[in-house]
Amino acid sequence: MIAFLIYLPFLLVFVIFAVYAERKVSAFMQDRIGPMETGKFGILQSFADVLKMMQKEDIIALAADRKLFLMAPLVIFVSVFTGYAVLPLSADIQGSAAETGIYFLLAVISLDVIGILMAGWGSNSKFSLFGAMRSVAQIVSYEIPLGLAILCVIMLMQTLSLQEISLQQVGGLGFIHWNIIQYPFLIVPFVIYFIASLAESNRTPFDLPEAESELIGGFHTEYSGFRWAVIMLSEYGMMLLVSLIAVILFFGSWNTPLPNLGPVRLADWTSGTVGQLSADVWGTFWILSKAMLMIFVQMWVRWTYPRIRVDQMMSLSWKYLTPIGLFMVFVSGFWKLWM
Amino acid sequence: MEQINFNILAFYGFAGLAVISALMILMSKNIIHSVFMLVLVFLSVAAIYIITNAEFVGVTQIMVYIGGILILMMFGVMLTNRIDGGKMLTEHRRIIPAVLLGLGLAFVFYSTLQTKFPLAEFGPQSELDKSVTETIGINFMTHQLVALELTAVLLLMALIGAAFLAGSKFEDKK
Repeated sequence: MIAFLIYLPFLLVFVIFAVYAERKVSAFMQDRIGPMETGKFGILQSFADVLKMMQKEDIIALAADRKLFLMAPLVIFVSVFTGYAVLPLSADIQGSAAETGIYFLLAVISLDVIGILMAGWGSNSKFSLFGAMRSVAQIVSYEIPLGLAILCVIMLMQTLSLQEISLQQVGGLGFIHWNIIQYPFLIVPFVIYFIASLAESNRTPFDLPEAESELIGGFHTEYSGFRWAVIMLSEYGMMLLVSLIAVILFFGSWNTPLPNLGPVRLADWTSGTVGQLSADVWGTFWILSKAMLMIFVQMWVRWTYPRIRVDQMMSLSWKYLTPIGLFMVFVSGFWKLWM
Repeated sequence: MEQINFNILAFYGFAGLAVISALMILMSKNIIHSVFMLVLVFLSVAAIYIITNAEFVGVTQIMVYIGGILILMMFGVMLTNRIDGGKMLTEHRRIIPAVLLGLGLAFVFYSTLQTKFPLAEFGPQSELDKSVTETIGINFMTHQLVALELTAVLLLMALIGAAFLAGSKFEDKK
């Protein structure tokens, strides 16, 4: 319950800084300087954007299906944010203790497809409809390799609860206890997971659903003002969510990366005492900073690779990622049986 | 005053939502709205599963029915609607069979409810030495193994059939 209360304000603040970071990262990648006018180094740029968005008129096209059009951004955001319910934040602060944990998370995330279809169909515009169709085809196909990659970790950990997965990665040797080091072949499921998660959050190279050069804005072409901001908020929310899941499953969740080296007890110093405030602060710090690193990688990928074609997107999912994912599930089973 | 049981309240809330949205499916003129109402029906049924301690079934309900079947239905309805041009509206046809079927169903429900029909226990989960997920997994691999394998074969057949139907068109053109 408390984790949930921390994640909501954090998400809102995160989006403002992520938009700024995205601009600066893209500028750095392309040898530009990015926004510089608003405030020192353009740091107020995102606040100016928010102010502008609040003032914009909430335009609803006459031919649009009013009910679906108005509800769609809320459905998308609610379904993405419900996923945060089961995420832990530190050893003591855990989300819902639901036994199904990650299974529940995957199920509710798939609901944002319905919001996207509502937006695309409700807008009554061909660009929106095309964008929604592409988006749904993409999300539905990439859910399979994503699920298979997560299944590998679940088979090795033998639990669906994200907090229990985190607790199995605790130890005095820091990063040595992380899943990706303990089970080295998990690097393959991690790469599959990362590619699929880019597709799930509609990020370049998988931004076909909004492909601004072909579809204007994809499923959110007709949205303006605050409703558009809510759609953007859920896109960044999805980025943060998939990064947090990657950190929990593969990179030791809220555990410190620093090992105890003889008398230099780095792990103990940077973990705090369980049950006290120090453990919560350190746990929150580690899980969030690892997630920020993952988000930086997502931005890095976005500004490095061009957009792929629709047929390439489909063949990548069905011909490469899904068979490799199935094989890795097989490998995980053998590892669990004999190692 | 008796203490309010929030599980009972939630049950009636979700059950009411399910019934109202099911009625909206029938009342709504626009077939797209009907499909979106079906989402609400499935969600409230999933919620009822969850509050009656069948958490795994509830999540599976969301995963399979909403994440899979309904998305497919929406695709079907939306594509036909836009290609056809005209608006698809719900109509009333074949009234006599519908009335007969409705009366029959009402009779079946009525005769079932004649005997005492208790609500499921909302109390704390019964203590098992294994968690529900583990129990389900172990049962799949021991008592229900034949059913599991048969389902797997059936799904594989459907998959091969779908690939064959989708692929053959391209073969002919070459």
